[in-house]
Amino acid sequence: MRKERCLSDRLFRIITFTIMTIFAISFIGIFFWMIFGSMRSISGFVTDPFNFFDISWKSIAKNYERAFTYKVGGTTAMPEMFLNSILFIVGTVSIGLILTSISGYIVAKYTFALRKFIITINILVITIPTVGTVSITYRLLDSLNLLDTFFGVYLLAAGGFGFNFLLFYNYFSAIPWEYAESAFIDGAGNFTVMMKIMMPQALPIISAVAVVSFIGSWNDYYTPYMYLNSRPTVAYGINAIYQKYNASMPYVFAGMTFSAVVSLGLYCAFSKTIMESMSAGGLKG
Amino acid sequence: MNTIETTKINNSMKSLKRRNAIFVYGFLAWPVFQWLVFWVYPNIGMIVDSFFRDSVVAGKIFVGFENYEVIFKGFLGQQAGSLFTVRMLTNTFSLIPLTICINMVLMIIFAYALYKKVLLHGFFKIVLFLPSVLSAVVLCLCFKMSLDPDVGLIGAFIKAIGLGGDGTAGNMGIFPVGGFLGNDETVWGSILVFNVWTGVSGQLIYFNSAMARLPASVFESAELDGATEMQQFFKLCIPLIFPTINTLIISTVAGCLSWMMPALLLAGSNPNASSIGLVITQIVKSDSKNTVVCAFGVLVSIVGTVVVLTLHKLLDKYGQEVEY
Repeated sequence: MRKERCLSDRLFRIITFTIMTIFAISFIGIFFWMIFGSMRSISGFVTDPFNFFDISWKSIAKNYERAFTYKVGGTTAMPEMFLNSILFIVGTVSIGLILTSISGYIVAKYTFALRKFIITINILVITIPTVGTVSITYRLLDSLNLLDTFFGVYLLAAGGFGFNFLLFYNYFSAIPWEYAESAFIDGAGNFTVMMKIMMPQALPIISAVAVVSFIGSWNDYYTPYMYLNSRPTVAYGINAIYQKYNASMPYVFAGMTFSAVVSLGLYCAFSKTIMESMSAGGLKG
Repeated sequence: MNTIETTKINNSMKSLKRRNAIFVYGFLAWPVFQWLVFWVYPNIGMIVDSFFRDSVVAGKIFVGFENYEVIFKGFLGQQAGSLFTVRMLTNTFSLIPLTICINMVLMIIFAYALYKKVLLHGFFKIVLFLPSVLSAVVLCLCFKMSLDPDVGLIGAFIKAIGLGGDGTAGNMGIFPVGGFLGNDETVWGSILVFNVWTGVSGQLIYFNSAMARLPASVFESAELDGATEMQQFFKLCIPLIFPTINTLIISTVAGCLSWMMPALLLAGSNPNASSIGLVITQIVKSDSKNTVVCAFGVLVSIVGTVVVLTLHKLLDKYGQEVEY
């Protein structure tokens, strides 16, 4: 049975559909420009920008070989940059996730003397922008000899407060305590209850936060730029390749396509989890 | 016997309290410690250092409000070559209404359209997510290249339809001198276009998940009562996801203050494209002992906190918290 919609609704759907289509076409267009560009010769690319299809195996081989062997800063090539990116992302995301989820759980479920203080800490962290402290943080890491190391970056990410803390706090507040109580009666300790009963129930919000954090980290140019110069990540590396080869864009496109393919592959592999977590986790207040 | 039993109960309660305390404080110890070292100390250090000058040669010297004077002189245009320009402020603070009034509005509308299963919504869910999957750096550089009149899709298109000139000397072009990103007048506008273009993907996932958690029964009964989808949008959907909107607006403001990457990659050191985040980053990278940036950080923190608190009050006052 076809739904009868009034005029304003139909107008809304048409207009929104059109705008979304424009955005979608632009994203797909850039994506294909990049992919095909990585397979074309430089001369072809420069003389006729609209002919996407003059691709050749010879160009593919040359472009990708250039992108993979170019050494950023004279030392780091693409495969190693990928490793750096993975170390950076996996490390910072998992450390942040573990700490914020545990902190949010404890403050949500336990009453203790400093509880209000901790909540105030979180409000401070969220409300006060700390853009200017990068100077001191930079010097602090330097004085600890942790500048330019993964460990230093992990330390920066090892915080238990922020927006994610709020997410976990809200989520755990809404989970009933009955399961935990029966576990306590059976003799389970606090740690057991947290890991075996409460955390599994929070899987939806944990996946949601993990997905968003991964994306944020993957797009993060600032942190490696400031604190991790000698271990360039893919984001930093692609810009470096661009600086060198912007007159020969197909080389740059090869590097970009490779990173895009990898991240798309990961996205497809996890898309079911992502779609499911999108319907379960949520921000509330 | 009562006293023995009471003592036993008291003892077991004490040990329960102690076990709980060990658990709670044990796990909260590191987050609090990390907060003290990496949040409190840098903030205090920033405030303290703003009143000093530091150099390798002479060490730390107390200079009072001199750093602040340098900044304000820059704003008033009394210091040639100062990085602290009014342009930097207007740029950064123009981002806030842009992201909230355009990006966020578009994102909410898109999320609602997806929620109401507009045509091809499955396809859109994937494609609109694409910019987040492609690294932001890739998008930046592709955008930059697209505007090139010789090889870029947009630039070449403009050239192909005959508007490739720069509008002077009688030609019909709309292409500014130096390119869209090279020309002082158009560089910031181009960066704003980039922001809108990529901005719709960023927080879409939050709105999608917020709407997915809404009780469908409320919408169904509204529809049975004859409410149109537009009415449902304004009267049901927005109030129900208001806490999400509230929180995201606050985080957006904080993000705008540290925003720098597109400006860095698209325009480099063009002073017409500077922003608060960019200026701070450039100063720290070039001279880590610089203390003027600390004074600037103090000012930004104060202004930023005021903005955030004001927004929070306004949103609390005019938004309704709906429980479901």
